[in-house]
Amino acid sequence: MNTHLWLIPLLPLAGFILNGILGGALIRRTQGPGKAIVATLAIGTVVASLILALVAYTSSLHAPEHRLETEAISWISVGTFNVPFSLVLDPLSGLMALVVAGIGSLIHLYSVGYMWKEEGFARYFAYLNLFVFFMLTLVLGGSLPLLFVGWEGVGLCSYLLIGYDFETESAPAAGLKAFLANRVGDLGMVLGMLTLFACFGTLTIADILKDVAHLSPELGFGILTFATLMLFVGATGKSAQLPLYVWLPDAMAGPTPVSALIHAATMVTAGIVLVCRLAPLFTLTPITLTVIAWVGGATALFAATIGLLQRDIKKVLAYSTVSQLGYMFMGLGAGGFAAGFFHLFTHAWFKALLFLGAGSVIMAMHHEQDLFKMGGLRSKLPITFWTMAIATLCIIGFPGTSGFASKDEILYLAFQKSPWLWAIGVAGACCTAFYMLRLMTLAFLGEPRDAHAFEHVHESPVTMTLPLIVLGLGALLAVALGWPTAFGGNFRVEAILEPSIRFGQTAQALHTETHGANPVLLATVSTVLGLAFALFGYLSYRDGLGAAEALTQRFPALHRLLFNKYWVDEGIEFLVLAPTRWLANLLWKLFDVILIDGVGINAPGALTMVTGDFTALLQTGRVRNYILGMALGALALLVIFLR
Amino acid sequence: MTAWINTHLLSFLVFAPILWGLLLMLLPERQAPLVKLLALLGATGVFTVALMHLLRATPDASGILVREWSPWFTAVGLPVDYHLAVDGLNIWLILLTAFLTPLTLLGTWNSLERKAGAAMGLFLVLEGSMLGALVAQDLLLFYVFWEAMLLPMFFLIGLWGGQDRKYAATKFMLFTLAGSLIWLVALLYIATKAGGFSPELMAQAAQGLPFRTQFTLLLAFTLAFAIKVPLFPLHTWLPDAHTEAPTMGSVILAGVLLKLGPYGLLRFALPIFPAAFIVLAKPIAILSVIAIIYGALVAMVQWDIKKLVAYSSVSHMGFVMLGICSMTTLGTQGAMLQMLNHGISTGALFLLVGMIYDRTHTRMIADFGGVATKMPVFSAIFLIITLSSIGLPLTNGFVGEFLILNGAFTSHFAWGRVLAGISTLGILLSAVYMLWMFKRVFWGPANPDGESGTAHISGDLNAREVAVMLPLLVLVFWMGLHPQTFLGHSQPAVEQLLSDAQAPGQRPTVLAAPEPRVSEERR
Amino acid sequence: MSASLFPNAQQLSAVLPLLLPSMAACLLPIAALDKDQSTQKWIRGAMFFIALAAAIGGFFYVTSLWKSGHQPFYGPLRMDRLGQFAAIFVLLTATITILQLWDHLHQEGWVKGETLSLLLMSATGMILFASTTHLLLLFVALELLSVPLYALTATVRTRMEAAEGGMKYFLTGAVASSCFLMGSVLLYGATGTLDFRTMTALSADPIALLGGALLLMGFLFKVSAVPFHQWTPDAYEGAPHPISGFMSVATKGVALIALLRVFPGALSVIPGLAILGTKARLAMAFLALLTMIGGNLTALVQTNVKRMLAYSSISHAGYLLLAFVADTQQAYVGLLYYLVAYMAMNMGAFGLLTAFGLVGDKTTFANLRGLGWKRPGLSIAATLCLLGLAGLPPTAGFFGKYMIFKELIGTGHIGLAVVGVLASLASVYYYLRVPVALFLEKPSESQERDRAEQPDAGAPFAGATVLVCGALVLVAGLLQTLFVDGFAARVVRDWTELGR
Repeated sequence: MNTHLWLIPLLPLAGFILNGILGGALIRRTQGPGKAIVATLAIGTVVASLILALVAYTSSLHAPEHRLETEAISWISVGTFNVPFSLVLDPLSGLMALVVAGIGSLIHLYSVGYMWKEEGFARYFAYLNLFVFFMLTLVLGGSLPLLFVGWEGVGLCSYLLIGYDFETESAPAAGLKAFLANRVGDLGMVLGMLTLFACFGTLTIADILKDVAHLSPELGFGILTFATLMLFVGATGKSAQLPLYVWLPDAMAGPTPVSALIHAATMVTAGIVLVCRLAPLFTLTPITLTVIAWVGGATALFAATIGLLQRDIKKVLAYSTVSQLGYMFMGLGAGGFAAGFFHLFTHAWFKALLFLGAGSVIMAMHHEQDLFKMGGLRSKLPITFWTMAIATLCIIGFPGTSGFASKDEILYLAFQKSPWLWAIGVAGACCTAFYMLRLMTLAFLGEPRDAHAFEHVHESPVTMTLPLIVLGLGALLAVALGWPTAFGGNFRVEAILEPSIRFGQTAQALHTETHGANPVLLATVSTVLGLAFALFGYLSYRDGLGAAEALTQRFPALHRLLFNKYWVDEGIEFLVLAPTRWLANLLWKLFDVILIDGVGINAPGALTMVTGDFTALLQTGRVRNYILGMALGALALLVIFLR
Repeated sequence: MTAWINTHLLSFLVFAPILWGLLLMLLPERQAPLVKLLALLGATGVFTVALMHLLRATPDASGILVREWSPWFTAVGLPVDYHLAVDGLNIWLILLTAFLTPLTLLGTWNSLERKAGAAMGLFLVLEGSMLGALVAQDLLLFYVFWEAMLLPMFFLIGLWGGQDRKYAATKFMLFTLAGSLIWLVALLYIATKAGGFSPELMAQAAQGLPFRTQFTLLLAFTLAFAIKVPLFPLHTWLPDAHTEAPTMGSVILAGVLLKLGPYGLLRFALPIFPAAFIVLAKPIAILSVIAIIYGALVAMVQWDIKKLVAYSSVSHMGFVMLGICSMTTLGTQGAMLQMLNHGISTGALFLLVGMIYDRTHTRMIADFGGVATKMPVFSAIFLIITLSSIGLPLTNGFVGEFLILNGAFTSHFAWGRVLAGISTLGILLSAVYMLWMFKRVFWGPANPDGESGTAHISGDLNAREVAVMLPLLVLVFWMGLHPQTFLGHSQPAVEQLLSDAQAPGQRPTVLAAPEPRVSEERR
Repeated sequence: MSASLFPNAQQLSAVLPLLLPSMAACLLPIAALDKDQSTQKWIRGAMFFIALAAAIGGFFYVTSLWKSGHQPFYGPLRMDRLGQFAAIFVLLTATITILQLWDHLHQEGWVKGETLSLLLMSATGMILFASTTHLLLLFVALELLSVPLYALTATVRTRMEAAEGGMKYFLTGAVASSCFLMGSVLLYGATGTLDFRTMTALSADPIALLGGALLLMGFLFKVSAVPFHQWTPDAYEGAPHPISGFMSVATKGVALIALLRVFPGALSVIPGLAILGTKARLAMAFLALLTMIGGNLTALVQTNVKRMLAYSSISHAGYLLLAFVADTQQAYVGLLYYLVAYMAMNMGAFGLLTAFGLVGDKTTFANLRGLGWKRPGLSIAATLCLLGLAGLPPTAGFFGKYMIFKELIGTGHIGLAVVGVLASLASVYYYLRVPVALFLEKPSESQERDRAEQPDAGAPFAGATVLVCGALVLVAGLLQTLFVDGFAARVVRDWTELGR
């Protein structure tokens, strides 16, 4: 049944294989047409799987529990250990699949224009298709190992795409960093899976969740907490939370569309998806939830503060992404799985839009990414400006936008968990508002700071602007999916996700009672503060960099701290990497070379030789000594015989 | 001929390569091209025969697929059988050996400047003796082949090796012999107690012995096998041997030779001394976890690609040993699979290193950089193999490691969970050293130094080299996507093995000296 | 026993194996009479032909005797299975030695008839030595085999080492033989008989034990067991290569066989000797330990191949003595099997030097460098022999060691066994140095030049013998059943049955 589900991930895979093997040669043969074919193939496959996903999603709404499953194809099976290939399309994975395929196809389209002049056109699109394949496997995977396939696969693709310009020094390094940081998280994933298998004897998500529903008390909840914590470690790796966020800013070395798709809209949200998938499990482990909430909150504020002073337009957005992901986890941690997912959903639209806009700006400025060299682009890049403006309003949570809806729902839940968490969230929101306005002002308003570059600036081709517009609409319309009940709206997304969030659960949903908190009041406070900071950001950069300079002069220490990103990278190098290399060298030189080889092997060998030399000394070559030896021998014999 | 092969399949598999190889070694050197061709044909023939017959065979009651069993010599008391058999435990290792040999010959077609013919002849002799060790069921026969493997390897390293080849070859020889000679004493001891060299007899005799004796004997057995694996801290011969050996030597060393250690443990040590093995498993498990981490860490700081891969073997084989010592079906099955994975991935890695060495005559990482621009196909293949060796899902590496970890995690061994937890670090570290190496060799700007390896690269892989790598790539994904092909055979064997180990005593006993016979399912 | 002077047919058949070589030995000097140094080629040919004919004739005669299954005796001379085995063993070795001598003596430029005659003399003595239990005959045989060897060692008079080696061998040998004589006298005094077979009910009388000890020392000297071994390297170094081989193989072999005949433990052919046997076994266990360790360790540091082989033969004396320590029928079967293997391996090893025409002081490892590629087949055969000596499967050397060690362990001498295998581990190192030198190492420029200018020493016969030995090492290893059941085992069985 539902065999067509397989096509959803497999079509992009086919695209990857064809483009990967034939694309390069094709383009080398026929320049333009070749690229056209490659692009069509790549986009075609993704769009096709988008349509399929749409069909599947609609049909899933009529299915029992809103859930479509493919039959299981055997993968690994040893004794009781069974891991089949199987896909599940329920509201959660369905929505994610739509987001991935939808935004994915838009960004494919955008890339055609953005990458047209590039050498590795075919390679780029092959990787992109491969990514879509893995991402869809991740969201649709019916068992944890299959999910893990996608999990590591998207990591691989991000590694390859970040290192797309492999002739440079920086890109490969960034790619490696990304992969390794992700691997650290993956260890968590693996450990989590091992523990879950030890507990439940299966790794099929559905079975685990069913067992969770009526869990025997003797199964220690401590071990479940451990498992969920480990899974969350995996999530921090993939979703760039503290302390594993370090790879995401560097990942900006990749082409901008990649940053939009992988490092803003889809891959980095895998962590949130994972938690939502196993929501019943996480609800059982309050400790883990608390950890998630606080880590999320901390990340949200931390990253936002770093974002305040970045000069590279993409870096700003990168840190903003980290911070927004923090909000999502904050929501999850506060028990609002739907809220977290909703923010994921809205964020996917406006952050992708921001990145693509930034990409359009960068291309217009001939690959200039320094904000301080831009300015006054609004007149030249109207579409880019207006679409980005929409996105900005969303992200700073301007009342009525989708960002407002999702973020304030999260903050509301956070307040119920702990007022301090809420305070952190609000602080982060203020920073967000500041740096976003700073970005917009520096890029589009004021006077052009680089007249020469400004001359040649012109709006991007339609293949790039069209996605911008579509995304803009998406960002605006996303709000339709949910409006906080506190404001008399209907938080529809919660109802939609219900079947998957509470899959297999018998008990009623636990409704957290409010601490007499007035949602409207909270929202007003946060919004007013946010807008205030937005205004501050605008004013301080409206006329050039003067104001900024002044601020820098006033707080040099703070400025250095933020500008150097709290020296986290240096710290890791100094505290983790260097000692490891030192230890490795020590082990090699001390154990292998000196102890085992030297003491263990060569020393006995040498000793034997020396003894040989010694016994050779007995061979004096003098007959008298020979006979003496014989006499002694005879004596020994006599002793033995006569004793 | 075919009739004879049908009845003496295993003898054919073992002795055809040996005799063919010896024959080729006698041919004069100026005939090298012809000799190469003949060697390749021979190896391919052996592989086809093995493939056709072994996969068609159907297991009998005791899970034996093919068997040859006749008294060998009863000289001076103890009966020694010429007992060859293929079952779930060794079938894939046999096929792996027969599969890697022709590939290696083709892959190193032009690598050897001088006396290539002799090398290839020797290589076939090596293949034959390894196959012999894999199919031998009688311990003295096994021992004979076990030692016979050393000589061809010794000369391969010593004659066609690098700078320190004499040291490396001698070290390899003596290191391995040291273990196996001690083992021989233990072997003879238990054999005289059992009145024969068949594992069944020995198992029975072992149960009669006091535990201390059993344990001591097992230690001697394990010593020999652990050196072959190689298990920390007995691994130091491996980096030298790998680095100095010619490509074909490294490939087969990593591909098959190391596997005989774990195989011996499973085939002989565990069934003969189950009680003692359960006790010894714990310390070995700890050592193998050390090997995993240690090998990976040391691999990280190597500047010679071959040495790096050699230390990575130490780490990977640590996983295999961990799986075996978990004493669970999961872990052991994982170990079985991981042996094949390591054979494929590491074998392929050595072939690839050899290919770039042929072009540049250097293996130093620092001599490279930006190779990807010059050799796109090569770097793509290298990347895939790298990913399989760091255990990326959907490639072969993942399944094996994941099974082993699950096995260790669910083992009765109290510390199993801790060990499994620690050994996951190996997965991280493997990514660190492999991808770091990949970045330094293939990515980044082309090495500016005019004398560097990158500068000497003439062109990308030629058709022959691609043809060598393709089957390996196919296997990498096959084993990753459908491991059942390989796990299926070993499953019953492993379950039998472990159930016997848990409950010694009611194991089937073969006492009567067998008539010369061959299994029936040949027709 | 019939009083008639002339032995009847049965008795004759017992003596014939001795007569053939000894008669040839007496015949040869006549051919060697002519004083002209540059003896004509055909005379040399004739001499060697006579010698070969005698050796091979004797060989075939004894084998026919073996086939017929007769075990004739003539007084104290007992040409039983054991004696026949010894005869075959000695004559085979002699044949190979003669063949190698042809090449070697030509290389030395010292072709003399007396060499061959001495060789056959000593062979005769060896056969006699191994086929009697009569003390007087034993002593005569001992001298008959030793004295020619002293001369043979020094046969190439022009060489300093030859004379020195011969002299040392003679002096030490004299001591040994006198001890042997003294021992037999004491035994006679204690028991009143000269024939072991009649030494019934030998009590633990100190005189007899003293005699036994001295007697044993005489044997151990011939076996060259530590500490009676020190003549070995010097004698071997001085002697012509084939003679060294002959000494190392035949002398050791017959000495062990005689030991087996005189100091039997498990196969108590001679009831009275039980007490001597037990004492002797204790002594041998002790000396075997010393011999294995001393021989192998000293061999490690040799630079001269011949001296290395000398020490290796010493260490092998150790392994072989272990059979007496284990002291079971199986062990003795293993001993005899190992002797055959050892013959092939050692003759092959010494033959290598002859085949490459390395004479005088040109017998260091350095001189072997890179020679392997000049005559691969030959070198591979020699390598096989050396690997056999190292005891690596599937050569005969491995199975010989295997049989002895198995019995040793079976009888509970684990410690000795462990020392033995460790010693042989060390031995692998120095045996491997030969193939390493042959194949792995490059010759120095000077060597290249020398080899270029001096013609390649053909040495057809020596080469042939090496090939045969190599083949034998492999065949005896792969078909050990043939050799053991059809040969060694039968010796022990029939001979013991005869004893009862």
